[in-house]
Amino acid sequence: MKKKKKFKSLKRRVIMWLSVFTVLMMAFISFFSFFWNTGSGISLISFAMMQDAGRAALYIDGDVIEKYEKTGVKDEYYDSVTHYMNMTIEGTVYRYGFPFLNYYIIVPYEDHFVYIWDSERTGTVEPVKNPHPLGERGEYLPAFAPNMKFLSKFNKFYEDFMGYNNSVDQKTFINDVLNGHKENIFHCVKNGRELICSYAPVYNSNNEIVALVGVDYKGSALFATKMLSLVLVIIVFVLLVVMIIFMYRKLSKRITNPLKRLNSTAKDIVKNLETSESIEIGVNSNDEIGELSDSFGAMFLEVRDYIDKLSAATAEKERISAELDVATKIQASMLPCQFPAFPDRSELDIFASMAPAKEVGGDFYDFFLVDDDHLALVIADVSGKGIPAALFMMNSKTLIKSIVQSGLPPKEVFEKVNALLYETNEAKMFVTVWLGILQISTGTLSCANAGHEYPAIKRRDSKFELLKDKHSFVLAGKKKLTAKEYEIQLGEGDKIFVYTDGVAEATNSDNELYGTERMINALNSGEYGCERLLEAVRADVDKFVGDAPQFDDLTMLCLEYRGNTKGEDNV
Amino acid sequence: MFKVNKEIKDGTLHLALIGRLDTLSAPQLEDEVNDFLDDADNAVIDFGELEYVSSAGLRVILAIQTEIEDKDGSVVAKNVSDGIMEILEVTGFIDILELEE
Repeated sequence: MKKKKKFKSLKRRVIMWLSVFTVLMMAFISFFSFFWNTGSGISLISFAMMQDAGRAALYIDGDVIEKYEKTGVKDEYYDSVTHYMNMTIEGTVYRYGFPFLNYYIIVPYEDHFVYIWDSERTGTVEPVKNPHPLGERGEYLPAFAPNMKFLSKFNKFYEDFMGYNNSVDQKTFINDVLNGHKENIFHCVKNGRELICSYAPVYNSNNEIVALVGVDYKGSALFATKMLSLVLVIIVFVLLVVMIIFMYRKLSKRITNPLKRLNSTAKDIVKNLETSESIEIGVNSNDEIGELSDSFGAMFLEVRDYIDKLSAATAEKERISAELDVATKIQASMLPCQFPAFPDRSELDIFASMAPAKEVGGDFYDFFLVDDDHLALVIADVSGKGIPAALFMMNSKTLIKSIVQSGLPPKEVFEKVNALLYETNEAKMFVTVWLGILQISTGTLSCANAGHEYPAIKRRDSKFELLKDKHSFVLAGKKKLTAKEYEIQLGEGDKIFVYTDGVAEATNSDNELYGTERMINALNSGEYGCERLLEAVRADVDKFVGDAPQFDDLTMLCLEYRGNTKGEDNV
Repeated sequence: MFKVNKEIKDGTLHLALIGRLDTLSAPQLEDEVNDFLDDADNAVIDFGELEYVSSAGLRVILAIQTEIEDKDGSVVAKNVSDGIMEILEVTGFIDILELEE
């Protein structure tokens, strides 16, 4: 049993695969961005912070710091540094997307530190901050408490990537910086905000550390960059979805819809194949689909053209077929088909039949009285089939009958008919003929056989047997023919059966020939009159042939001689 | 179903008929042989693998024979089986062909 193929939309399948692809892509990106951001994002920002602290440390003149601390007097240089720090804070917004919270320079002491410079905040991005004034004392911050929202996480990553644990108090950390551990980040909580800080030492001209530049950064910013990349991922995702929708529409417009139109047009065409004049598919793209549509249109026109031709040819064939039917009827009507043929001649029982293979054929039989005492029997087979054979057969039949009626014996009839047929035989056809002229009063049958099948004779108390008679060549084959004549003496109750090769050469589906042996057996299968005898042979042939098509005409003629009832035997 | 092998050697057309030469296949034989007949003065027909010949087939053989005879040539039949021989005898074709053992 054939399973019906389930329809799966091309469009839906493409979209499905694209979706799967997108989800996989997103998973991939998310997975990597998680590590990339927490890892490299943190180290990048840490590095930037240390750079900024370090740059400021190099810029600042270490020799003046002591003066500012001691006198508390600001000068032009002091203001320029303040300006630099404020500008830098604004600049970081553009550089990192997040500003430094604080930018300051302190002088560290054992239990406190002193502010020298501190940055302002204008309030553009972060809230306004009043800077610590020059000389203000600051207290060291303790280590941050565990479980802080950002710092705990940050510290863990920092530890993983950099190998430092930064959960120390500010004093310890600054001591580390003073002792040369420069590349580090300090975590702290200042005024309730989680911060990460970087410190860079400021040297005086004697290469002694006199102060530290500090940079504070919001702890949440680090994770905000992670959030930022999440936003990026979402944007990419949205873009992909938009792309998919775009492709979906494009796909619909360029592929699926044209295909649908093509499909419906095809259905329409099949419905209106004979009526529709032209075809409008309505697909005008310049891609494969467009080409398909064009080919489809061309194919339709060709199919139409072909159908037109086929219709014409079929009509012509029907016409010829009808004419052939008429021809078959005309041909059949030319053969004597009134039985009993001679109701007033009790000496004779005669029966004949012809079953053409298809249309008109080349077989014929004939019987007629030449005069009161002579009956002519003819059975013949023209080579080939169809119209040419039928035309040739008509000619042969007419010639034979007219020449026999002129009273010539069979041998001379054949020679004359042969000469006449040969003259006009352009198609190089020929005809095999068996001719017998029976003298009714005596039962003497004068016969001639021009290439025809052997007749079968049945003597009154005997069985049918083939009579291997003297043959001459077929008629119309050679210009000159020397015919042979022989006589058979028929007694009362004797029968003669003549036939065409359609009987002996009837073929079954295994290409086996019926053969004369089977025919003789059928003839001897019972004591029949002429009509029943022919029916018996016909039935036996049909049984043998089975479903195989009948190739050749099936023509048979049987004569029973009942003796001269007018003669001395008459009761 | 039907096949004919043909070649011309020294003006002699050699034909080997294979299968059933009947109404359906006779035109094929006629078509295939026609082009060769012009160049042939004699013909040899091998009936060895011929299963059956009908009157339509005999017509083509007669046409070949007539053409060859017009050139004073002869048509030789060889390897004629009993079944085919019977047909040739019945139709008298045995008289227009030269038999070769």
